[in-house]
Amino acid sequence: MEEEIELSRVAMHISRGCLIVPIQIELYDEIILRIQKDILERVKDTGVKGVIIDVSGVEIIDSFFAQAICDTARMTYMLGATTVLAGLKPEVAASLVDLDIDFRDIQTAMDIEAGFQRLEPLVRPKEEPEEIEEYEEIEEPEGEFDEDQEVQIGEDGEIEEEDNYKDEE
Amino acid sequence: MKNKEKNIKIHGEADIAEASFEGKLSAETAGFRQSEQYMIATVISELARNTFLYALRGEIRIKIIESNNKKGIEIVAQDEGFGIKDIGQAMKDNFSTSNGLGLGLPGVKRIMDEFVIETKAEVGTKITVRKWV
Repeated sequence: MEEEIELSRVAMHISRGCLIVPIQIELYDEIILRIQKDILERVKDTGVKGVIIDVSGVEIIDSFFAQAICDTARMTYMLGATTVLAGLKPEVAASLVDLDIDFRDIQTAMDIEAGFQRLEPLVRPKEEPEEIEEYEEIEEPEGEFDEDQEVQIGEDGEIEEEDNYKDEE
Repeated sequence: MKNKEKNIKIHGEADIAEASFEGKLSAETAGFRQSEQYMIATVISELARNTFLYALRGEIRIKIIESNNKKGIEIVAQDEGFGIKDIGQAMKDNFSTSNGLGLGLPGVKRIMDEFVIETKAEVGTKITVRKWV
């Protein structure tokens, strides 16, 4: 419960398969680090493949903040999610260049919408390769695990698998 | 004309944000464009952060200056830390997002028009920067 309250301060939400993190506050290190932690927990809990950090409301990004964002992106990547930094203001970009900070490690986008477009191929992979994987998985376990519906279908072999294929198409 | 000097003691992380915010207000008063106001605020944030990270305590002084009918802003970051051992190293562009925090001083110098650093081992560091409108 306590975590929920903390999360609500940053008002993260999941939309179109991405975790959206709107950042409006500035420069309070403690908060930045907490957001970092929250993002990681949220990624782990939900298994999202994309994170969009929206900094369109941020006017000052110093080296600490930039570092925290880069670290977060790298950490989420290790958990299997790609981070896009969206909405950098022109003056912030200018300051970052002067300060010799860059975001080479992470993708950037003009705004959240552009961020979605960048992440779309990752968040919603093409269906065909997934089906092939499922097909292979179905064959091997032969209904040993009752929890998994798809495995149960596998008991009857080819016919059921074909049905499965049609459904997903 | 407000030439009152602002003096912000840096004792904690929240003070960094305060110094930065006060700097933005002063820059606005001095007549800087909005983009420059934010750059000045970023500079103060870097300076205050260095103070906090490397000396733990110190202060940021901000004042509006005037010379030859030109207005500007002067920011002094002073601490009572151990001093910077190798200024040459500190002024090198070695900040990289993958190598932890740099001092950010080369960037501060680039953004501002004037940059003076005085440091003495065991006494502390004083960095004075100015920017003209």
